[in-house]
Amino acid sequence: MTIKRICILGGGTGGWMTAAGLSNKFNDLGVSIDLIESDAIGTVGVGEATLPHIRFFNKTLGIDEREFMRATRATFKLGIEFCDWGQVGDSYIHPFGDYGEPINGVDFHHFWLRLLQNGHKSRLDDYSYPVLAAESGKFQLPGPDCLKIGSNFGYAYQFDSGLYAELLRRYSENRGVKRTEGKAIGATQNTETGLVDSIQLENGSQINADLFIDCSGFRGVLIEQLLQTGYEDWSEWLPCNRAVAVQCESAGPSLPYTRATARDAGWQWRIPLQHRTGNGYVYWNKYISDDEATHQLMSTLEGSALTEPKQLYFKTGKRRKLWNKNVVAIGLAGGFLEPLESTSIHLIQEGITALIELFPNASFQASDANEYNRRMDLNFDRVRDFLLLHYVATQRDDTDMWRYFRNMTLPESLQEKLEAWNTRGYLLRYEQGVFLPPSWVAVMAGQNLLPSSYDMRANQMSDADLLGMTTAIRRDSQAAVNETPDHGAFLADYMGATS
Amino acid sequence: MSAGKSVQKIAIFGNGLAGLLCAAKLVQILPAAVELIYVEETKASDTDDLFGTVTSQTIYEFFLGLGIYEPDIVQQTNSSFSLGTQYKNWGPENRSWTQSFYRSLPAYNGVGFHHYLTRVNAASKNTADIQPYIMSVQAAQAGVFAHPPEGKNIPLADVEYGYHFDADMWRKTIRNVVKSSNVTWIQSDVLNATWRRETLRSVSLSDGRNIEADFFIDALGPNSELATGRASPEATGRQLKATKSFVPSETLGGTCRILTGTPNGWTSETPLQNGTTVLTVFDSNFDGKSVENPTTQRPLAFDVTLGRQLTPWSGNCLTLGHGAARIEPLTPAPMILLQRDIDRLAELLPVTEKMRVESREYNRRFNADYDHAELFQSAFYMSDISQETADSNAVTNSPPDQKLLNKIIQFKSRGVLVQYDYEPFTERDWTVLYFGLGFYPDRYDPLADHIPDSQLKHRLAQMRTAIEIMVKKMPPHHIYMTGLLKYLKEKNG
Repeated sequence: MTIKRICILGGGTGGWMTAAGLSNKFNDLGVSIDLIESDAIGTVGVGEATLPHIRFFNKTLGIDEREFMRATRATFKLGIEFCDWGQVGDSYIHPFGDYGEPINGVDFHHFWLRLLQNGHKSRLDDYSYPVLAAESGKFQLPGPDCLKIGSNFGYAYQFDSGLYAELLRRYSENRGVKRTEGKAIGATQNTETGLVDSIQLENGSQINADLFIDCSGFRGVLIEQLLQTGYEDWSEWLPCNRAVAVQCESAGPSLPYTRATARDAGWQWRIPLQHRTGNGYVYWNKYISDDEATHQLMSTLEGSALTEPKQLYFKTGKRRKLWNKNVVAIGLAGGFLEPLESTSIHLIQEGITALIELFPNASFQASDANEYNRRMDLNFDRVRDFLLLHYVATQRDDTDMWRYFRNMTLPESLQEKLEAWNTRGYLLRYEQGVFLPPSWVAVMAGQNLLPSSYDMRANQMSDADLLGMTTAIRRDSQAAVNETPDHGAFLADYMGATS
Repeated sequence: MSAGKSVQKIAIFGNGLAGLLCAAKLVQILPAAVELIYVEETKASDTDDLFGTVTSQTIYEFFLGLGIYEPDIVQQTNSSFSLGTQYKNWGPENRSWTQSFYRSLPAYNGVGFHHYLTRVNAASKNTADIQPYIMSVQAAQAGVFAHPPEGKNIPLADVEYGYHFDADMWRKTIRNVVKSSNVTWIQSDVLNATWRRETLRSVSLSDGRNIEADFFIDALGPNSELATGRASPEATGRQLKATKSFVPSETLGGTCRILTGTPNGWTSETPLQNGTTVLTVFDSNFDGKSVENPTTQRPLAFDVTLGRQLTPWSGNCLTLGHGAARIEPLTPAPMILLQRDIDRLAELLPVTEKMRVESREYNRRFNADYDHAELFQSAFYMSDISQETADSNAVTNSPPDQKLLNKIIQFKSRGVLVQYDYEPFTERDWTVLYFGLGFYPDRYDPLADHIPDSQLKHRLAQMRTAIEIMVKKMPPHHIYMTGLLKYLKEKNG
């Protein structure tokens, strides 16, 4: 008994990404896909900045990069610049790529630490081509030789997620997805199994399906309002619960990175697109009023505001089960983690990928959902720890919010990671989870958390050899950056060229 | 917070393979300022045979990290090439299959190969096996060998290999490697160890010497004198005994170990250059009944209680080898895990006398590695399960691990491979094992339907044929080995 009908409730980024991902795979396998969307309900448009994984998603769909970038007014993204996180006045870039390269199987940062602890100071950033390129506002696509400096990095995009949803809508409708304009007002469940049978719309019609994807946003119309799945509240660790967002005119050169600036009661994002800049202030309302947050945001815009500031309310956490009965929650209906590391769209992508890989049949065995939930729980848990790291790996204690983090009892998983790093620059690894060791190094070193020792194996090389080697890496990285065009010029050229 | 005194002296106490391999590794990675002492007990370990007779494909790189190269291994230790283990007469269904080492199976359109096989089976109401599609399985069953070429698009490039070995021979060779290094070599017996709370202060030896060090490695086995007076929590399992014999032969045998199930254990035949090692392993208390030595004419090669310490690294002393863990040599797991223990230690070598972070992380990963290797091995002892009886139907009479059940249920219900962090056995190993044990998926990934039937059948037939042709071109193990040894001899004059 295979699934014949899928119904996606909600458009927006999550809904249309899901529709595109599923229609690409199931279009010619006799599976129908309906998407219910109401023009009357606005979309949140989560995260305009992405992680490199999005490229794989687009590639799987067969979407041409240039076409995508033109349609979504996208810019390239080499990483995120974090300002004022370790201490006020500090900044660092978390790049998509390694620092240096391992020597005899030992991670490069141990050699850097050895030099540092022996009086040879250098910036870890100087061993990263993407950081240096970002700092200079430069960009080019990685070359084919992925071992070469200047080619061994990842990149992502900053784009208009509303336009991305439109692009994916066209894509999906071309592959048979049927969009129904309307507002869901109810649903029916099988009295025996509890499986959802159909969704009722305001206009009196109903849509039947075997599998429902809840992309209805924070409300979680099916997963929560109907099935009452429950929510794991993570406010204890990530207490920011509101945001205000506004778009403004861009000023200055086009930058290939996102910026996240720590503030007194949260942090502020800046996401440069081709035609405008996205801005927002994520904050904890315990320590700042909505009006004050809006005021602070508006007073720091680089250009004239293009929209009215938009207020968002959220509670950090995730559903107890992202897949319950025959409902899979994707996007904000599944959970919310603040977009400090651009994970919102990534978690949507992970949800779609896992659903495709673990696609059920119409019997909906409990084991189908269990494995999906296990994987997605790991994804959420590990992103949570990484986000929290930014708030606790800091010397800041200048406001009530920062003092709150200073006195917090950390999740054990994060506590152990911090101790292992502080003691000897060791990184607790896991095989599943989006942020790999170099990301942890970027944030911990970037926020001035320096280990008191390093891996003993880094002592094997002589001082002279090590100094020679590290000097060469810095020189080669800088040389590669010198050869790289400005981001704005590259982008214009790339957009203008036909694929 | 003071950083604590730095580690300047490390002492290994050993009597067998574990301590020597560890010493060989540390010699390669320790900075010159750190002294390494190796204290060898006069009596050699009586449990080294518990490391088994086969390695996995990971041994090659591990040896490279020790500065030991393949020519040394084949020229000095009678070792031969191993493509895996052929299991025969296994379990209540008397199943037979070959677990071999390979790089990958093709994933058409991103859908795992086994889904296509399931699709073909569903259509034909058959249970076609995965074995004909794995080059190393076919080469193992034919007893042929050749080194896999790099970067060539032929079936042989998919092959990976380990070694068949004899623990005594390896001990001798690695002992020479360690002795000729800059290690401080002492041969003496341990009289007693002086502990102050969690810290091992010194070890007095029968030759009157007293060894002090910042960090100790205890590789003296389950009855180590160093562990006296130190209680550490253990997880224990079955009691396992084994006899070992060697059948000399002028001609090297095949390229896999043959392991045959018996009513209360198993017997393995491992081809070495000069003959075959026969290891007969039996559970001395099988199904609650006492089992006698089935080969009374031979003495026991080992007699151990399986199990492990939960905190092998405690204070400034790490227990390595059979003092830390004893597992059944049913698969290459014992050697894989020893390698992983040594590699893990290398990553976590303590820098100062404060080593709480290092020991906690070592123990965490140690337990994850062993737990997951045990899942693989205990799967061998599970009969076919259905979801209804999932929690009550294990041959070993102990409740099956939830993780293992999850793995098997996911594969059996729809061919999904579940992997956890820190798994010594790969998805490839698990795939072959599931098929070998008869855990065929009930359904396949619907995306496998994208390829038309005729095209799929054609591709599968092509794969089988390419492998068959390749196997026919490959030389028998003994001819390849003779040629290799001759070449190495001529090369070295």
